[in-house]
Formats: sequence, structure tokens, C-alpha cells
Amino acid sequence: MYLAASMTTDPLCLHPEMSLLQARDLISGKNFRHFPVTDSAGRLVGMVSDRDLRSAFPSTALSPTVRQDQLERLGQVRIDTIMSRPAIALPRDATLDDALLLFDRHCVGALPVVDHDERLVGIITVRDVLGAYRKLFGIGGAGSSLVEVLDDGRPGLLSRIAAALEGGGIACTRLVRTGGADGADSAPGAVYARVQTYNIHAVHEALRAAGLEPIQRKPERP
Amino acid sequence: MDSLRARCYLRTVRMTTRKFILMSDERTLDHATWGGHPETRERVTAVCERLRSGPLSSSLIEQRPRAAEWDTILAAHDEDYLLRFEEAALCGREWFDHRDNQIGEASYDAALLSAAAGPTAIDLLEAGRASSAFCAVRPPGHHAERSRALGFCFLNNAVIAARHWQKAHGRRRVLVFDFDAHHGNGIQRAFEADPDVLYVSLHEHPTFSFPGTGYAEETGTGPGTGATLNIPLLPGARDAAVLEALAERVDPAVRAFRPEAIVVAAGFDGHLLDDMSGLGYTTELFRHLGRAVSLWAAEFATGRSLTLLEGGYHLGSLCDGVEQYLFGLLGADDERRGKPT
Repeated sequence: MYLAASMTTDPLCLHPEMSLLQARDLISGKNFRHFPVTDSAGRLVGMVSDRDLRSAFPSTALSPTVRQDQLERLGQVRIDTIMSRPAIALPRDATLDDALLLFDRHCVGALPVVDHDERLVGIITVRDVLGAYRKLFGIGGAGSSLVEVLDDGRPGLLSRIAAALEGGGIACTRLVRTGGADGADSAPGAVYARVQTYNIHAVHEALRAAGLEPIQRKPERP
Repeated sequence: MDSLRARCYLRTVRMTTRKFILMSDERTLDHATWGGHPETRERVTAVCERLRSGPLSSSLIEQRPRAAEWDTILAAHDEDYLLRFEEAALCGREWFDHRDNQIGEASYDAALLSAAAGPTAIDLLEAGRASSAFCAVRPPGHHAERSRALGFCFLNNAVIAARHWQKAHGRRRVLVFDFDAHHGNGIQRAFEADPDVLYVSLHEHPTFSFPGTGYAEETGTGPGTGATLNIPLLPGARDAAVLEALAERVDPAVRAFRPEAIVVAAGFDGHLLDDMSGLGYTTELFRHLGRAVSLWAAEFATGRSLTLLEGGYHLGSLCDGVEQYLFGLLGADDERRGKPT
């Protein structure tokens, strides 16, 4: 759940005094879109996206003479004039949830990760977080089924499900409770259990034997 | 109503005049499962009994698979895996790779026979003995990966058959059509980078159902991009969803691909009465599926198709489903000539 395992360490960095032309040459051919800007001590001072850089460059619709003139001026423009600051950053011990919330709130595609001294230690992108959650929830891997169990409102629901599955020798990797468990949602609650088995018949039998009610979406016979 | 249904049934039977090969072997029944495991020997005995005693009995050409050829099996599996599987069976292990995959001493040999059924049938089809073959064998195969047993499957019968059709008979473009309720991850994995094999699967949505693969966005990789067509169906899906997908997605894809050979991974666990999926197919749907296969075979594959039994765990609906599928498969030519169904 910690983001450190999913971030890119040692990312390509820009420096605040670097010119826009130098920055463009540095990132040319690299398949990155977000660049932390760090000072000589490695402390984070801002962020620049490839879009920021593109926006600073003269339009190709300009006449060649005008465009060349503007390009030459960019050799004098420093990165710190276009970078975002203060950069929104995540601490090294942040969780994937922290990153998810920040991405959602600030609508950015990547966030720098810093240590206690504000020194850059990595960068995490939306893709990294998606991949981490995909792994966490076992999405796309072969070998599991999802079982839905009615939330009967009785205490110890998750424990009872876990015990029923373990008692049946059924490996369960995730239990997710939805609905009215915290009183915030009036919809009927359910628990989703990801089980590592094909034998869904045996799973349902084990749950029923423990007094639980697996929900099946099988239609009625016509 | 019953009278009408009976007349329709008899008319279907009468027009079923074409012969088909039924490939089975009692030694596959020695693959042991126990303790309420869904994949039982009774599945195959019930299907064979129905076909031998039912209205299709006069259409049967019964055959047994020859011994598996090592090279044929190696087209789909690593040698180390096969040796590991054999050792596990002979050592008396109760399961292989996962507790789902129960085994007994005879399971390795049974799996080899099950895998050999497809190539044996293909050779008979190519020799002109019949145009269709149905392999009532077990264990099933479509979840088995190159070096991993999964979902009651040990050897990937469909992959082995498709590769045999390509190598032994030069049928380069092969359609593998999988209508089991569960995605055939092993088939997809084997062919996902291969543009010469079109894998089409209709299955319950992987967010809910085993094995958790077969999302619509999985369309193949590298040169095989576009040669995988996954059609996930939400829990509760009925015949109409399948028929719509068949007409609007599958049929155009098959016609564009123009397969020279057709392998069908036929699972009947999408039936209303089968509790191994959340799908709600009626028995009638399987006749439509058989008919679709027959039409593709007639148009593109000199009439030939090979069907391999995959899932289907409710014995009654399994037998009914197989029978209806074969009615559709064997009767489609008559329909194309305008005869009533």
C-alpha cells in the first residue's frame, strides 16, 4: 500500500537555471512527460511538464524569421520561469491512497516524492498508481473468482466469511465491504471476496454452511 | 404446446442425417476427482450415453484417440511441466499446481488421451471420414497454460488440436471459438501473438468470474493484435446477449478472418441450471451456436469442424446442451437450403 514500491526512483530532473532550449535537448527522445526541477542539493523546487515546455515554444505557424528569433530568445529563458511552484509533493512514506487523492484533487498526471529534507527521491504517475491498484486487486491475473455475500447486518461478518472460506480450504486474497457498513450509504451492503479457485460451487456451499448468503446473479428460468 | 415441441424436435432429428465422429475413451474416466468436485467422470459418461441412445445415435461414428504423440503435446506445453505433472500423478499427489486440480494415479494418462483426441479426430476429418467431430473427453483443457495447470485443466486440448491442424495438414488460419462460461485464458495466452489463429471467446465478465481474464480490451499482442476477440457478458446474461454478440461481433470477425479450420472449445456451464456461472442460457442457445459453427465451416473450412468438450457441470443441462449443439452443427446445411427448422 506504500507508494515507494511503485514509484520511479532516480527520475530525469531539470535544474532551475537551465534554459528552455537546454531542457528541450535534455528530454528529447525520452518517453517522460513530467520533470521535477531540483536545486544543486537535490531539493525539489518545482515541476515542469512536457506540455509546459511545448507551450513556451513558438508556434510552427509563425514565419521562419520570427520563429527563429523567438527560439533564440528561449536560450535566455530559465526553466524556473515556467515551472509550477510550489510543487505538490508526496512524502516517501505516503500510501497509494494518498497519491490517488492528490491526483484526483489536483488533476495532475504525476507527483514528485520527497524525503524529510525535501530532497527528491522519486516520481509517481497516475499509470504507476493504476498498475499498483490493479496488482493489489488482482485484476487481469488468471486464477480467481469474485464472490458476493449479502451483508446481513450481524456482527463479525468479515470474520465469519474469512473463517468459512479458510475452513473450506479456499484461498481468499481480498475482502471488500460496500454499502451501509459505515452508515453513510443506505444501499444494501455486500462483501466481495476474491477467491483463488474455479470451484465456485464449493465456495457457495462453504458460505451457506456458515449461515451466510452468497448472492448469485443467475436469472430465473423463463 | 408439448405436441408442437415434440413435432419440432422430431423434424430436427429427421434432418440430422450427416455422420459425425464421437471421440471418447473410457480410460479418461480414470482421472479421479472426489469430495463433490464438479468435474466428474459422470459428465462424460452421461454425454456419451445420451448420444448413443438418443436421436443422434444413428449419426455416430465412434472412435478412440490414438496414443498421444510427444511432439504434438510439446506444441502447447513445456517438457519440464509434463514431467512434473507425470511425477505428481505417479507419486500419489492429490492435486497439481492448485487444489482445484485434483489428480489420481491415472490422471496424467487420461489427460494425454484427452489431448490426443483432437489430433486423432482431425486426421479422420482430413481423411474424409466425416465433416464434424465431437470429443467427449476429460479432463478439459482451455484454462491450462504452457507450464501451469489451472481450473481443472492440465493439457490444453484446443491449443494442441489447432497446432496439429496447422502443422500436419497445412491449414494455416485456424478459428478457435470458445463458448464456455469461463474465459479460456490458456488458449488466449498460447495464441495472443499469433495472427494465424483467431481466438473468439464469449464468457462471463472477468471482474466476477473465473479465471479473471478475458477483458474486452485484450485483443492480442504484437503481430497477433486484432486476432483475439473477447466478449465478456455480465452476470445474468441470457440467450439474447449471446445471439446479439454472435451476429454483430463474432460473425463479422470470422468472415473477415476466413478460417481454414475450426476448433470449438464447447462449454455448457453457461446454462441456467449450472451453478458454476452467473449466466442464464437456455438449452436452445446451444443449437444456435452449433448452427453458427456449421455455417462458418461450410463457407470457409470445407465443412470441417472439431469440437472439444470443456465445462458443463449440471449433468442434465450438459447432455441437453451437447445434443442441441450437435443438432445445430449437423442440421445447418439443410437450413441453408431453405428447409424449416
